[in-house]
Amino acid sequence: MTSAGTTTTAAATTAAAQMRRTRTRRRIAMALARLVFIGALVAFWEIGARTGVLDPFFFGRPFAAIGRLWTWVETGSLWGHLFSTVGTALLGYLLGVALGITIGAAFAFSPERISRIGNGFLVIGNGLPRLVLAPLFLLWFGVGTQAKLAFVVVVIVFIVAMNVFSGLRDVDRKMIDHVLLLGGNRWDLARVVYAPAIMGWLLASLRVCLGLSFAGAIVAEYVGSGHGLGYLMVYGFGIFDMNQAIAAMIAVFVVIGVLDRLLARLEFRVTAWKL
Amino acid sequence: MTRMAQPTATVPETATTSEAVQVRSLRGVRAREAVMVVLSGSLLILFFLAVWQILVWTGRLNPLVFSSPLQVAEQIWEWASGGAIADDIYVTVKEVAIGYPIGVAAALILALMTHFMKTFDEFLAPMLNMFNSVPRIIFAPILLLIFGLGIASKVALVTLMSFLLVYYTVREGLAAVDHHLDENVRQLGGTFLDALRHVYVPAAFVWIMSSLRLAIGFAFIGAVVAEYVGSNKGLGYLIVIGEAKGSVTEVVAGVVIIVAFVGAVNAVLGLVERRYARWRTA
Repeated sequence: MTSAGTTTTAAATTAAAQMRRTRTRRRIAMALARLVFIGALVAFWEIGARTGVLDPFFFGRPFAAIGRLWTWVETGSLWGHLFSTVGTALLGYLLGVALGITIGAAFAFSPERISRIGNGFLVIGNGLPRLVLAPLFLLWFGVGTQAKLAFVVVVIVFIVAMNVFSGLRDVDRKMIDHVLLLGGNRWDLARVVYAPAIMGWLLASLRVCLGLSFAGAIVAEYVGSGHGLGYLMVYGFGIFDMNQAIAAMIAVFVVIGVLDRLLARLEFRVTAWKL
Repeated sequence: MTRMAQPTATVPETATTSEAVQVRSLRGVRAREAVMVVLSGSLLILFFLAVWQILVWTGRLNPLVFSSPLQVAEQIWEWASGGAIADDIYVTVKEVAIGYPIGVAAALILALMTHFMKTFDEFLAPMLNMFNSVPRIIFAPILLLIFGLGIASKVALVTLMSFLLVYYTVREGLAAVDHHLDENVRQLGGTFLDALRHVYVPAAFVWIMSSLRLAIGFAFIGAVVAEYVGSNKGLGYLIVIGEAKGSVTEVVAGVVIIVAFVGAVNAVLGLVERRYARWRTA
């Protein structure tokens, strides 16, 4: 800021500062409004449960549910279940991605006939509503983590394979020609053209696919498992304990919410260069 | 995939070739490609089924663990002749048929509200996003506790899932409406209600139609998974009972029925979608 237009710059900065202040004030007001809204809902729920307006058997009592969750945290019993679900979801996702990339790439670089069969296979696999296959995996692998893991892997594999397959096949020919023209070999091609294409898609689909892995882990736990947050919910359902189910659901919300926020920030930082 | 990659041998080289003929044969080529994909996929399935059956016959695969295509077919036939399939399909379809429209109606109303009242939108958005980031299936046990084992809980889950999906779709659709259309309505003397009726709601419906397949697919999955958690009727119920019995045949048979049914629904909806999207030039 030069001394030449100090008065105008001063006016400009106060105007900008004022805009920023009103924006921050607005944001705080919004946050407060949401807190009040949620607080009112919870209060209505709690008072309703205590007075009997809302039958606590069917609806639970929020403070009781939170108390239950806190007990779990205190006694440490929550962590085993939490790690079971989160670990299965994350590991299943990673394995599914690795397998999916392998399968997709294998089909993409095969001769035409095999490629077409692979395409058909992947299309069918993707069209299958894979979440409904959970009981099958439980019958095959028994009640336990293996069934969950295998199930999540299968849920993820087809999506990843299909997208890697089409992504690799639809790569712009010009880019391939450029690399080859500049004297690159197949390793360079993979490094400069194919890998970024795959990574790009992976990052873009990270949130959706992770959400799906969690859904898979939890559904597998619903159908039969001895561990996990989904198991806690279904157990609560089985013994007609609404507070237990709600406590487990809060735990799921918190875990997925935190993960989702982290991923959103990661996504933003990675794609910030895009306009 | 550029147009030039497609064979032009089918197009007559005469100077009087009309554009319409070219477009028609290109469409024919694309349709043929789609048929090829479906055929190769089906052949693959048949091949896989044959291998499976042979492995069971030769004793390589234990039929108690893996079942066999013939056993599955037998089970389906048994169910079908007993009327079980019809009843259970009917129940699951009813759950979707009731839940989905309710979800759409609620989503439409809320989307219109948040589209036109920006403050309300700002207020609601983070809370809705929080609900959206979580896989909605996790609400199943809670809804089952509130609504019981009957249809109501499944309808509730389907409504919830459809609502969230359709809400975001409709918001996108409303945002994409050309504001000139709204201005035209006002210039011709229309009120806000007229604009709603003639511009916004039709736009929303077009977008709802285009997301119909996806939404109903998810709705079915939701209904079936809810039946897994607790039910006394429905396709998911059939499967879960089979699982409890330890009968792989029944589970596979149930899964096959679901997949076939969802596939058929998808195909029909695909035709509906194409008919509705015919006005698009893309």
